[in-house]
Amino acid sequence: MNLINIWNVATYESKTLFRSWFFRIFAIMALLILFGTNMGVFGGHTNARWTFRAIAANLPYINVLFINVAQAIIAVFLASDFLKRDKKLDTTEVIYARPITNGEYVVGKTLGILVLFIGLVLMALAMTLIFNLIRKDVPVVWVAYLYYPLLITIPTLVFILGLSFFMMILFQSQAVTFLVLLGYIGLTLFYFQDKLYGMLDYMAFNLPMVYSDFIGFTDSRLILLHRLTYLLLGTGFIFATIRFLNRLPQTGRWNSLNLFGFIGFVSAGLFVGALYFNSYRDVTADREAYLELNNQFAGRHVIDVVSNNLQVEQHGKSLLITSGMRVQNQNSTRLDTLLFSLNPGFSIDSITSRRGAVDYIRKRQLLILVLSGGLEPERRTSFNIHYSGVPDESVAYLDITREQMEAAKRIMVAPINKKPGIIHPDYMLLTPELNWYPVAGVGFNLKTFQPQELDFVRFRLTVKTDSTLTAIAPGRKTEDEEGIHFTPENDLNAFPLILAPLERRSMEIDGVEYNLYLNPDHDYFSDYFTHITDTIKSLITEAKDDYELDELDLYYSFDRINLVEVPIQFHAYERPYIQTVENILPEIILLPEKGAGINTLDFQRFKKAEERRNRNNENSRSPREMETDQFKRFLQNTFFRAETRSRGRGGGEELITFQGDISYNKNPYCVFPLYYSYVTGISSKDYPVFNSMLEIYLKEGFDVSPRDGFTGGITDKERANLLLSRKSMIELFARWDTELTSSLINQTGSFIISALKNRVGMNNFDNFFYYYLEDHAFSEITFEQFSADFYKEFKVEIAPYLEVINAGGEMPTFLISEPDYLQTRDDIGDVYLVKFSITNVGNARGLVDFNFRIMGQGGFGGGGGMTEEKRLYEVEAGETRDVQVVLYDRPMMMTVNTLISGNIPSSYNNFLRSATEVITADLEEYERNSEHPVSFIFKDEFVVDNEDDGFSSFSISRESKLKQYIDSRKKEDDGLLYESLNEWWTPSRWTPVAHSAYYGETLRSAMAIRRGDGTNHVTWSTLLPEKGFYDVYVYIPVSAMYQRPSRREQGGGQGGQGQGSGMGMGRGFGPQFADKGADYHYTISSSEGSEKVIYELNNPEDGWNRLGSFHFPADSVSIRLTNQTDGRRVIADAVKWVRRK
Amino acid sequence: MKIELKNLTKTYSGGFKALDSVDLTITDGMFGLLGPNGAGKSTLIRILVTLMQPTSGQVLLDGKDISGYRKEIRKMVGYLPQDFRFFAKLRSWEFLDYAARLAGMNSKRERSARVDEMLESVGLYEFRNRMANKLSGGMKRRLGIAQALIASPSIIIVDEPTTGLDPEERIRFRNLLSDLGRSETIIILSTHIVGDISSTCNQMALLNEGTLIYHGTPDHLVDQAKGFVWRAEISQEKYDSLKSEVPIISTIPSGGGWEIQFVGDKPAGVEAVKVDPNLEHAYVHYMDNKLEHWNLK
Repeated sequence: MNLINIWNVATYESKTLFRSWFFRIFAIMALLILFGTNMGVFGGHTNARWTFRAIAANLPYINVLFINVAQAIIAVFLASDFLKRDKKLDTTEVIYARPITNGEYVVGKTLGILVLFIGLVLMALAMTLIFNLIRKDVPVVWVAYLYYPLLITIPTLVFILGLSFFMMILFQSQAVTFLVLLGYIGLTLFYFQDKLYGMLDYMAFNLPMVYSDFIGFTDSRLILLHRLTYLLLGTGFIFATIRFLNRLPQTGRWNSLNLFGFIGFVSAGLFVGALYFNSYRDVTADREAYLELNNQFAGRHVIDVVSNNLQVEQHGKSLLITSGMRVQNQNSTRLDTLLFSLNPGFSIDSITSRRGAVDYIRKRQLLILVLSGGLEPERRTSFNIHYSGVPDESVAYLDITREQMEAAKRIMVAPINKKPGIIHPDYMLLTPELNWYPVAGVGFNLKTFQPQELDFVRFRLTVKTDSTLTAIAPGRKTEDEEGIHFTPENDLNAFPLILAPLERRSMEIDGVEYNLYLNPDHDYFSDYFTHITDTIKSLITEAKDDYELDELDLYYSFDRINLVEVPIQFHAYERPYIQTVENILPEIILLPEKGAGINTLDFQRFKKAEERRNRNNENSRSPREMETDQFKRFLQNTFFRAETRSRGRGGGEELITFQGDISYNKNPYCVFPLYYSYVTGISSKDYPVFNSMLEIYLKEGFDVSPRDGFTGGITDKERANLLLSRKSMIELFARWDTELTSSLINQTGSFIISALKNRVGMNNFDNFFYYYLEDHAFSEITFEQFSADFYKEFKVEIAPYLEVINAGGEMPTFLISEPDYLQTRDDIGDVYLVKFSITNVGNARGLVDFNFRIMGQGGFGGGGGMTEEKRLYEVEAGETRDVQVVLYDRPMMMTVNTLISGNIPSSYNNFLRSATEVITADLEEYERNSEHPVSFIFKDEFVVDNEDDGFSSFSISRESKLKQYIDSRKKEDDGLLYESLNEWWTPSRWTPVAHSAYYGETLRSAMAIRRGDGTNHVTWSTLLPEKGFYDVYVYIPVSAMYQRPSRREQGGGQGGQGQGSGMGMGRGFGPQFADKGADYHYTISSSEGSEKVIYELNNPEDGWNRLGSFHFPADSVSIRLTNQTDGRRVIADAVKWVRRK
Repeated sequence: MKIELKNLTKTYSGGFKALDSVDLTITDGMFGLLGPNGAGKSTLIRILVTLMQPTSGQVLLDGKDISGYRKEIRKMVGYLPQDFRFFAKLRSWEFLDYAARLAGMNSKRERSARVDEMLESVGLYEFRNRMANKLSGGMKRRLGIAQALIASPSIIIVDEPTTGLDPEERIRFRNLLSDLGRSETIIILSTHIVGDISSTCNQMALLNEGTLIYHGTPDHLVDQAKGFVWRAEISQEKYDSLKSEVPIISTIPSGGGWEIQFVGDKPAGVEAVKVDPNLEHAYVHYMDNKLEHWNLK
């Protein structure tokens, strides 16, 4: 190949391309858009989030990613256009007849385009660099300006150019090539994305390549493999283009060489791609194997670790560790083997005890010590485990689904790795999740569905490192010639170690040492707090006290707190069944590099907003006041909030800004675990989830508010209830459904804690519990011990309440009567009485929570404020309780929540509209047993609901197969067939729908169908005992048939009692009755004959509507309703026959 | 230098035979390739410039098969294709520069001098900075010939170079070619315009439907038509009837009738005088009277 010829072709091809308007317009547009984006995000006066520029290398990264996608598309047009022009043979023949080889020609052409596109990228980068230089808070990461174009632009372009050329030669048609390639690009951008580990994503749009100031890329090998794959494939396609170019080759020799090049490069590309793919697949396989092993060994008796003396030497990425352990057998049986988990990346060098070498078996992440003679109950023994190697991160988070692990986490468009720890010569972050020291027992497994149960262990650590890294770990830090020693003051259940190039800033407040470990170049925040340096301590104390006293009633028990800056690639997953997220570790809070992602660390934006507010206000505030405010808000929102969104107007401030990451619902930086999870915990073999319930209770309390929204269907909680009535909690956890798991814990947790509190008294429970926790700080509490102590105190057994977890079928179901709302007076003023009865018709004990909303002076919106009063009633199966609630302010609404029950909806609102004035002396609140179960059955009334046996439905769907398939897909979930109707969706077959406005004693449901020709129908049948005239009523759930409802109307209707009408709905503004004027076609039949009745929904009552009076024999009778209607849909709920007197 | 075509056959994938066993020898000087559209001229030329492989047969250059020496042949050849459009976004001089580079002229100074020289010789120097697509049809052709000649090729192949040119441009173009024909080069001029050949070529070949039907000097071809070209003065009625009998190649109004020239046997009853034929007459006479009237081989 003659380089001069290549150069000549390239020069003129790029010249021609550069002069084409298509390219120029594209280039100018691309640069303009980038300029705009840069102005918006990185510009001097922008309000864009700090997160976008916190990671300095993201400036070039985001720019290169943007322009890369645009170029990848444009390159297809240009490349195919080039060859299309070549097809006009006469034009190209001038060139073809010249003494250049096909290779020189194609390579020259490719280079010509490449050079131009690279030039464009360089221009974009130059522009970025200017922004970068202007921004004083974002340093220039020079290597990033080299890496990103090399890794992203070049492989992308070579690949897409090669592929375009090749396709053009293959299809000989520009149109077909366009279609195929644009389709492919569309697929990679919108469908393939990170599928197959991002293997098909040639633009590297989903390949995590965020570059940390600490450690650069985390997976350089994978990045190289991925990019090399496309570079090689592209080169292979270019060889193919040379080989199959429609021009006689100059010499035959080259021709076969080109074929060889094509096959060789494409094979090499595929091989490298396979290496990339396999790296991921191996991890997946490894994780499955780890889990399998954990399952296999779960449930074995486990030794108790008393102390662990760790000696760590760091050599680059590799660690040499000695773990000196003292263990005790707290089981009642002798242990012949001791089971430990230890990161599978470590190999065991030796295990020794005082008596010599100890035999062991190493199975992946498990380490089994074989003790000669075993270890008798209560006996202790010690041994040293010497191990070394590089920790393997694939063992972490075995409970997190692959889908969740692979979900992209992004800053703007830049995807970030999600590393459970950092293993890099320049930064070691050894989290407990990495299992870097031996822990007794197995980790997460499908038998218990809990992560590792952790002993409180007396840890001692000595670190030796040949680097200048700072060591950070829990405990008092001392240093001598042997190394750096950490001596924790308390036993700990997790022990992290960080070796990092960080600088310490420290202060002491009230005996607690506050350390900030920071990259010395990363202090972007001090300038925002220059006026309050003298008050920072008191602000911290204030915030901490507020949290401890008002929120938790627990106190910080550690002697220090270390805020540590970690590389941006570190990621801690949230789990639905525990409250700890590994951003928070004993004595340590891990904050992402430069605060990226945590919006409360975006001080510039807050400051600007404050200043703006200040300008608009007459009473301007001093800088000191503003800084105080900002610092308080930062502390409060970052560390003391449970949710990821702060409360406030307009939905409040989002605390975390990573796009696309599905794992964060809770605030991962909330310090709660430092008060509970790392201090104590109640462990239980039988009820492992009990601890999670207590965690949630302590952290945020349970959410018992009624369902959100108006449209019906079933909520997550109801779904959890329904599922729990069929299966045990562990079986349900095994669905790996985060939402469901979290609903289950919330539902059962609120049930159990409410029940216990109800039994022993709210304050008694809290007093006992908090003191108990304090007394048992830094030690594990077994459930047996806790429940024994609880019983000793209150004479109440906890375990029976916990049975709901394992119930799998047993469940309470409640009939709750319509409340009597009475008003009277006592000596002081008005007294309001709410009387109702509750019958538990289910087969397990249950609780019903009543929440009364009481308006202050002025009623709704009157500005008098709103208060709440709560009542909780425990009802045994089969029992009926009569209740009178006495309130001294006017209640407006009663929210009923049946917690864990078979009721649907599980909670609803009862509006208390007008009280009946009475004179009564009975002003005592009571809750007493009753002999009269709640019943909605009245004499001479025969009701058939859609849930009853007398109801049947018949559907033939005439929808297209696709539509039927989509409809059937909607129902597949769990066989829980309750849908919700809305303006956009009505089923093509009779489909069960749920809504609090439907008729139903415990299950308020109906059947709905789209309008049709009358073929599909439902039938209500019953047996009438006496012949005679009956009024026939049908139930029209008007409250559930409104469009665009407002919050006010939600849950307005009251099931079987038909009280919800008359609220003025459907008139004037507000929601419209959606089915107005629709005609329902009924056929009323008996052995005496049948009669058709067309009922028009003009102004139906919300509830029972009379169709007319008919004569019936003492026989089986029925009412049929078809899907024929003028309206959009037909809703079939309940019918009743009422005997006329 | 000598180019020999031996039993050259080209059959396209659809079965169409563009060239059928053509044997031909071309030597230094200007060689005209004449034939109607679709006769196989362009196919022949594309084989000669190594853009196409014959189905069978050989092309020998000084005794060597060119398919084994494509690089060498491409170095020697200057080629102007039939329907050539320039890359729109290049200036005249840039296009020549590109062609020169591709032809292997690596010295910038030498190349630049040669580009200017060529621009001068085709009369485009003052348009050197004009974009190639902004040139007139004639200018484009001239630029086309300039790119073909840029590397002083010893074989120049031009395919239908005068199509679409006005008469003045056409004469200029012919002169340019004949100037080159004096040096030791082979110039192959493929055309269906007879005048191009008669005024420039010393050798020619006539192709029809892929077959070589004449090879020799233009004069010899003209001789074959002697006695078949007539001039007559006829009335309008006669003109109408004669039109269907013989090919009339020129008509000039004269008095109440026409002065015409026609080719072929003189029909009875027409008063006509013999005229000395030219190449065009000979070509038309051949095309109209089919091969059986001819004794060319």
